[in-house]
Amino acid sequence: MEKKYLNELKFAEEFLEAAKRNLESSLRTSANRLYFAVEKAVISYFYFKNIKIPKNHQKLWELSAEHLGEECYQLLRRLYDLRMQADYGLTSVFTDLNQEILKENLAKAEFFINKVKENELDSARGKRMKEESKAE
Amino acid sequence: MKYQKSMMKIMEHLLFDRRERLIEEIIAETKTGRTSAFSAINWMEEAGIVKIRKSGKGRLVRLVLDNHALRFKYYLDSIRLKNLNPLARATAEIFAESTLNEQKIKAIVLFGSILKNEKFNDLDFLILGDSLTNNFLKSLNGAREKIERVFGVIINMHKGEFNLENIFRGICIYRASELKTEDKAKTQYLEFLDWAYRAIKKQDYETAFNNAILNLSYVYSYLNEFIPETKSDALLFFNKKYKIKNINQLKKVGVEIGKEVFK
Repeated sequence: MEKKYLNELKFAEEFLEAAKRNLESSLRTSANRLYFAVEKAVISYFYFKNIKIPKNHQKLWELSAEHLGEECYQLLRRLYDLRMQADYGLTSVFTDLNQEILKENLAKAEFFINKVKENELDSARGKRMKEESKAE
Repeated sequence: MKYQKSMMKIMEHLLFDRRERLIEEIIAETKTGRTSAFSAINWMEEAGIVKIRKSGKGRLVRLVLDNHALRFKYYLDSIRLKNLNPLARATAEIFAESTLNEQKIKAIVLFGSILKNEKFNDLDFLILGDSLTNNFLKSLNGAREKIERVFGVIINMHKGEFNLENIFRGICIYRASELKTEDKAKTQYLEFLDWAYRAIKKQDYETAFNNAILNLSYVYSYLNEFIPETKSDALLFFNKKYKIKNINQLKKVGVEIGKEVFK
């Protein structure tokens, strides 16, 4: 299980970097990677907390609202909309796909991914310390 | 009317695939009898429903895309909608119902993967009107999000001009000329959606949760032809079948009842 959550987090960071790299050259690629970066961070968190991961996007967002707050749901929903516009063209448009909005969401996504990472690291550290003190 | 059955089959076929087709192909694909198919196609040509032209030894048939063809399409759409996966159907009907007061919308078309597969990831609605803006689409966000959060179905909204090409992109689930019919169960159900959404978002949770159950109790009563005199009557009747203790149960029962209301 430990490997799984670390793998997902690695993906999240990799995708986030790809989103940043493509911000100037390809908005579509950037929007696509950004959604999956946050989704991977959420999945990593669920693995870490031993929460069963739903296969359906919406159920995953709903579960993220329950465990990580309503803001997480809204971030995922917004990024999904941007991703749909990026991948399929004429979609939804309740969040306009442009560089400014993408930049704004990139910052939010990065903040969120770091938060998940810190949370996992802190908990892992705490767990390790507990185990060490028990062994002593 | 003579040959009506063949005519309906051919019409459905031509509407579904609007390419020009050889008569022989149409007969084979619609599995209609040869004589009745020829008679029906001749009648359709005389009535101006199709155009026929010679092509080598064969004859090519093309549907005349006008308001008559469109009326037939709306009729078929109504049947196709009723045949959809119940969750998709209810979601589509509720979405259409929620936009009834929007004067700018001329029609809503359901399209995308749902028309090909029983299983679907999301529902795509093409909202048609003259020069709809992104801001207008954003104004539908409230309705979209409510349905999405209660039904657990992702709704993608798209906009387009009200024209034949767009109307033929999928199943037309709403047209501006539709009458708003009085239906107590539907009214209560839409109120349930409002309260359930608030409860999901944890806005005044307890009140929202209880009101959602109350609305659902009324809906359930009406569906079962029980007319409650008081709120307690409705709740009592509802509680005989359902015990709702948390938000997930509320959503589950809400969707189950929604499928019945909007079937």
